[in-house]
Amino acid sequence: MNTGGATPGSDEELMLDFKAGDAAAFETLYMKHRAGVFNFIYQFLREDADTSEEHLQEVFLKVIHSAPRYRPKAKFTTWLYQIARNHCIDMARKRRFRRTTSLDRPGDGQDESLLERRFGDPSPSPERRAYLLEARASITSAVDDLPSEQREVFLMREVSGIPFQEIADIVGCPLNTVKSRMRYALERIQKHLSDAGIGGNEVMEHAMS
Amino acid sequence: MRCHDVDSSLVAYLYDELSEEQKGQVEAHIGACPECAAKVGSFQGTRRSLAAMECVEPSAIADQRIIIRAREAAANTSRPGLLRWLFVPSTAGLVMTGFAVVVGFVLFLRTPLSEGPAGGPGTMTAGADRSTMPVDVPEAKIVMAEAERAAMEESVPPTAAMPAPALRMASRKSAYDPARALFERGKEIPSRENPFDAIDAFMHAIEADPQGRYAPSSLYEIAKIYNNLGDYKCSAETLEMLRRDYPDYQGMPEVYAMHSEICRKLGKYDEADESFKDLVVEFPDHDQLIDGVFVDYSGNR
Repeated sequence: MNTGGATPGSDEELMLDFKAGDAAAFETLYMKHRAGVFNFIYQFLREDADTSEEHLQEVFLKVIHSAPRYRPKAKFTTWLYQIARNHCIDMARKRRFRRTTSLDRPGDGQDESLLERRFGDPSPSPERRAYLLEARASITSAVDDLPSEQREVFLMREVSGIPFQEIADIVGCPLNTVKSRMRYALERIQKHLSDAGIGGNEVMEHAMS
Repeated sequence: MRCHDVDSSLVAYLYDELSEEQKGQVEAHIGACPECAAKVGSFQGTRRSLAAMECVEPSAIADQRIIIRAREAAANTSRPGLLRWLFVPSTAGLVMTGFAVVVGFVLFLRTPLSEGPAGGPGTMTAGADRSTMPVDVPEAKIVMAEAERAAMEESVPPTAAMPAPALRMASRKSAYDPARALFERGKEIPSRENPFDAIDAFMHAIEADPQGRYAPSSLYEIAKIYNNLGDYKCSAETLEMLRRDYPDYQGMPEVYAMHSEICRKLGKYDEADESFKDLVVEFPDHDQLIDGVFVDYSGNR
């Protein structure tokens, strides 16, 4: 039952259905957006997968607990990523006050199954695998070095696939500011990769051959 | 379109957020301007490099946790307000336990006690012969309580199912243990027909008491269900979680054996050998380890 005037079949309608007690509507929403949100959290905070899953759970628990008060004033993804972004900012802020930080960097090319899954090759040659792992490590380092306002824009666009206008609504900035931040982020990553000798065409050749 | 316009449209062009008309104008310009073409090309190359970026997915266990919470919230939404709290397992358990305590206390107060030399009516003295007590509800309750305690204190093998009648008596008469009740419910659900309902029940059991004895058993059952579904990755992840979080689990030999088997199915032969080596080193005298081979309860090697 949808009383909010949302477009039929839309995320907003699903959320309203969940508000009315339809658990299956939430499951549809969750399965649609979980990967994007999870990757955003994972790449933004750079913690291990288990901790990232806890953050994912906290974000969606906030969605669940906020359901009784939900009104589709903005797009569902705008609201969802605002919750995710605010959560990540809080976590990053708390982490700054920790005395020690873990030296373990997650995903430094250790998860071969994910790499293999992404490129659809169950058994890449050792040379290809080594190159791709090195490329991944360089990209990880480059993204980590981005200022947080560029990193969040970059991750939302590149990893989560959120359009620029929506990112502008999420972070509360003008559209041109968001595009500028994305431009600067790409330039920094480009320089980092170039310094590491990683080229886009080579990555694709190793991935696809 | 001029170079300045292409530059300001660059990011939108890269991510395909221009209208068809604008896109056409950009492409017409870069076709005629080598500098802009080189700039666009270099950014496109950077984007291609990002194909190596790590792409991760949450585990099935994480998905289940969130979905279960959503189902609980939706169930609370659809039930009448005053009765809503009765359907939350932990709350219902507290209510039932409280009710049982009150009833038991009232019955206890109403029971006449045998008279003894040192006290007045209603006084139980040391050494009072229980056989002189009236045989009524309190006597029967004492006998049953002792039987219940004995039943509960028996160690439960990781996968053995308790006989149904004893199970029901223990769960009805003893203090309500939501984790146990949920675990038993999970075991009763035919997992081949309703695997996710069974997983739900086991997940609830874990959440009801994450440090209790039914949490690792529940994880083991979940791993078996995923294995039967052919989702070996989820099964392996579940077993790894079990090994990490419950190192003292009684059924660890079976966990090692299953993990080894599943790693083989996933083609992770080194990990499979590691798990089997752990089994042989830590449990060399296990009765299912025969001549260096793990034989399961069905006699399969």
